[in-house]
Amino acid sequence: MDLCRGTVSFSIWSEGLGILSEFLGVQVPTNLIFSALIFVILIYLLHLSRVNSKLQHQVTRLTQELAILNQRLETLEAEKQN
Amino acid sequence: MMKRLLIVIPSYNEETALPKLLNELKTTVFLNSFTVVPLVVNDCSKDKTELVAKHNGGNVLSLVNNLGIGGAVQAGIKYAKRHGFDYVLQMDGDGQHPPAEVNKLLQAALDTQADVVIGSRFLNKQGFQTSLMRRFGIKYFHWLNRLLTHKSIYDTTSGFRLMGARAINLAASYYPDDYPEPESLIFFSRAGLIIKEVPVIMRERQGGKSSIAGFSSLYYMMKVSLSSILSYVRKI
Repeated sequence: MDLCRGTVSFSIWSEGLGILSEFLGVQVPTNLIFSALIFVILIYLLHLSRVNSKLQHQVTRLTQELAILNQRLETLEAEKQN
Repeated sequence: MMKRLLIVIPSYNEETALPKLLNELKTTVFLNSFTVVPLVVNDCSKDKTELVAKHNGGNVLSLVNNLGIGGAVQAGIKYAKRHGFDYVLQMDGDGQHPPAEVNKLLQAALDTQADVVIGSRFLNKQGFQTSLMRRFGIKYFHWLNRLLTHKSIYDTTSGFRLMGARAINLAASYYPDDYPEPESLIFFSRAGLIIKEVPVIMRERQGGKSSIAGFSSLYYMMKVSLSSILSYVRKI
């Protein structure tokens, strides 16, 4: 969201990008956009991998619970038959 | 008072070795203060592991997803916690760990009040010894483990281990995924559990394939090192 706001505001106020890149010491203003975007993507990847681990952890828990419940069900059914 | 022991056998495609192991477990005489229940954890095998295990009278936990060794063992540990077992013994499904050696671990747990007892191949050099590369890896893990836990444990990668009630409680809430043996030791020792190591005699695997082989062993070492260091610094 901030990313959209940033790019839109710089497309309206294009000198701003030049001023900002000069302030940060970036010679070509477009390179500032590229490197900023790459940084944002990296952070996002990190975030996704965090989400992924959490989901994996949840799947593990569910699988284990399911196995334990299944086993219990089978024993109960076997007891009932006898 | 009788103590209840659950033998957790994590198995992935072990249809060839399992029947022999389960039959051997049935005929083995355990220390008489223990009642022993074997539990095969079938980690979503592609062969008939589940059928074979049931056929040979084992309790079976069948996982619907392949969780890897850590998740499979933890499923067994959760089962033990829920059914009120006092001890959990982890044992490979490929027949490397002879059931007769179980008593050594049980005796050590009774004698020393240790929370975790590891069956070690190296304390005296008997029985099946692994390859040079593997021995180097194990030496390295010994060094890493000593660095991180200040304890001298030789066979940190041994999958033949006994866990008492405190270890069961801990492992039910957190147990590492991929290669849990070395990492969980660091975790246990940080939680203040007492870890003991006893010499056991191991056999060559009777069937199935090792989960670690060839080039992947270097990758394994790096991965375990990283996760060990992380489990050294993480919150518990």
